[in-house]
Amino acid sequence: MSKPLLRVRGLSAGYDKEPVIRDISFDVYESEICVIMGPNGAGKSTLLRSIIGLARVYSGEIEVCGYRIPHDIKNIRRIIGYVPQREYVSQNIPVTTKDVVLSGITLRKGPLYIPTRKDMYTVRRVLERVGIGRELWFKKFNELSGGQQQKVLLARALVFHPRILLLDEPFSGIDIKSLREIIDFLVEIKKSEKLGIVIVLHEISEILAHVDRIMLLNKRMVACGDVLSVLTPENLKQTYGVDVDVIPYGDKCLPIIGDRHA
Amino acid sequence: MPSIIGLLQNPFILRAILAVVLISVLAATAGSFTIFRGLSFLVAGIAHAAFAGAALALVLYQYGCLSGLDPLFVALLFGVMMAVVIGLTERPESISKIEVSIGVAFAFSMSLAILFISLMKEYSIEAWALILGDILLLTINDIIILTIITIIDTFIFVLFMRIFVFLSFDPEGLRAIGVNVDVYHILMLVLIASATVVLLKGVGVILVYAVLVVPSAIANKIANDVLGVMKLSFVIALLSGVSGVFISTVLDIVPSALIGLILVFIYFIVSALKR
Repeated sequence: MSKPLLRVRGLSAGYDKEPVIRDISFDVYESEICVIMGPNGAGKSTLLRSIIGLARVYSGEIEVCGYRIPHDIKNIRRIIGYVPQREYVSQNIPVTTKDVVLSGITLRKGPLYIPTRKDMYTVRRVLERVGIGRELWFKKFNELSGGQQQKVLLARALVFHPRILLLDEPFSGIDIKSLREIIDFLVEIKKSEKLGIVIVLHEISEILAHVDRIMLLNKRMVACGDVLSVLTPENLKQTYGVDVDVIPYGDKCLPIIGDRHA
Repeated sequence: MPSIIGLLQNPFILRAILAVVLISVLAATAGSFTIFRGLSFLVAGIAHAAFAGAALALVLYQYGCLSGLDPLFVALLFGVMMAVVIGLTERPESISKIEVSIGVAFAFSMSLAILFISLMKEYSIEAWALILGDILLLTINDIIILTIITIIDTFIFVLFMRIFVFLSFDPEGLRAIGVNVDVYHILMLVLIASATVVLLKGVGVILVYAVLVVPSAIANKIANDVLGVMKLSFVIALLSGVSGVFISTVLDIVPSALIGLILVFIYFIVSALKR
């Protein structure tokens, strides 16, 4: 097997006072989707944030394409596309769809950078790829539907051709049609771009068939591996603290009635 | 009734019109970003902190300290300090927590202001002048200070426009690509604070909110992008300011109150049409 794009070993990370997550170890390879699941406050977002240098690493190692945190954080940020939770994105400011995606390029080049034709071409292309039509390019972001907003944020994270994509609860508050379109797109680009994709989720039944690796997390890593070996009633009870129904479906999918919240 | 040409020959009115133009530029920059950041309460909080600073200066004059120094400078110091303290207290991502800390700072500075006013023997008229403001009574010195702050604020807003836009849109996303969000957050608060303080003599503590924030609140309901909001804020502030100055001169009423009423009237009309 080739070297992993993301390699995490014995990670304890958190914020000012103490670690939120402890002793986390996992790998993500190219063309792979890794899902991280756990209850509220389990530290899922902290784990994502530690990979892009936004949380404090107390101990352990994070290596991204051979670069290490914290020393190589500038290089790491050039190869990671990050999609934060949509609820943290302001709806007060009338930024257009095109400008949101273009910011993925321009903000990396300094305050005085003037976008080139090539940049505009790249933006149009990535918007087309995520399924945002021309009629929406000059529309205000805050007037788009939840699914369209999520696609635009995804386009912004992809516009500078990252090697790894980190998505924090990308499916919350979007309709089933948009959800399936986004899943299909993620599956397509993980293969075509050889991306490593890490997704933090609460409920995974829709994407389960395409998940290569799954981690259950509740402050500590409960289990990590392939879907069948990780999603057992015992592991789920240890993670969520309640009994969770697991319904076998075929030899790969295990739609579960998991932790749902708005 | 005096003619417009006749009114423009009056130096008080000329200075007022010049002040309206400068205030409109600040409404377009500082005002728009106050709305974009969702921090409109900040303007009211800063205005009261600045008032506490001015009141302190007036109390110190009584005891022979700071004589000759414009109380506006102490007001500016208090306003900027409040902006920095608020910026350091809460994370830029937590708008609701920032609003709470503005409220606490508001209560603190207003308590100080009342304390200082109670200690005044001679200067309470000057304190009331700051609370109410009068754009027709601005001196050349006031216009110079207003011009300098407007140029500095506008230059910095234009220079870091892209970062300020995406700091307002998604601070977490900005942080993820390595931008020092905390520094830009405090810088934006300081720019809004300085814009608020230099408006006090012209429009007063109470109405500064109306003049600085309401034009952008109206523009944000109409315009289709960030630049559109900024341009429209400028036009709305300018038209309401100029018409407020002229009408108040003819009818002999306080201009800032009239400008505030015109703006709020436009806000309600636009809100009703946009529903």
